[in-house]
Amino acid sequence: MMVNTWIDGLAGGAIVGASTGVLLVAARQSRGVSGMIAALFGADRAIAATFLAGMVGMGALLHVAFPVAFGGAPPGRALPVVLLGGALVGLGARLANGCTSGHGILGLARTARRSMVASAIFVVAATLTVRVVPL
Amino acid sequence: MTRTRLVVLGCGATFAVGLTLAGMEDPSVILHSFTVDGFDPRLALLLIGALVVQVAITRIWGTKTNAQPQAKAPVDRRLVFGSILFGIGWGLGGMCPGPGVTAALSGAPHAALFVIGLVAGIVFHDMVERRHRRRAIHGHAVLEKTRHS
Repeated sequence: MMVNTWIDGLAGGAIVGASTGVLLVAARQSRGVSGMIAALFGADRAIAATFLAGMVGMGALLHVAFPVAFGGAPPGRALPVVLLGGALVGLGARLANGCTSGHGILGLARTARRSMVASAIFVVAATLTVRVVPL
Repeated sequence: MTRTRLVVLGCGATFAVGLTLAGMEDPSVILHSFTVDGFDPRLALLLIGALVVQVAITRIWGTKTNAQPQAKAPVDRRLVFGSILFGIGWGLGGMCPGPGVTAALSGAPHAALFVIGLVAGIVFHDMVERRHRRRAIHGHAVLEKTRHS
């Protein structure tokens, strides 16, 4: 179980890294997922819509094939809290100009100082939140 | 559809596969990345795996692109404040944008609500920012006019 967990995490990460890497090198896109959503309303809307359609479409297929992987509702969180969480993630990502993929992968890979600061704060704030609002 | 569009579509689909394999579609897995009791290493492992491959790809194929933001932009209050909000939302919702978008059509109420909040937060920010910028440009124009008159 533990070994599988480690392999799943690393392999899943490698696949995500392949996606962001190819996106940057082949399509010259250095946006993370929140940047793609924001770009839906700008000049790059065609590319952003294509990327997000790939994610949503594959996500729907994966949900049919492996429903177990999608778990259930987040433990200890009522639905309105989840809605609030989404709004804070969206607003925060735009203020910080990046999310887990934009700062945590693309930014850290090019050792950008802003991304190091953002990624560290993301994790510390989430850890403190889980302590205040327990699972 | 152009070749680039196909590549981008494939990247979106691949991204979803990686997240799902790493357990990121299960909010419980993400939330247990932020606890000591029952700590789940998958989020940390995902970031390590992704970074290794991302760095390898950019080293091998180079990044002759101007699409990358300036590396030396300063750390400002906006970045810190936004990151704090993001982290709080992550700890409350058990998802960040990638897992949310991937689960958008799963039919699970928590995923749908998270994505609604996510898009609303993004649109709200960009609307306010656009209005401020327009006002700033307008104010500047007025200033210019008074200066020239």
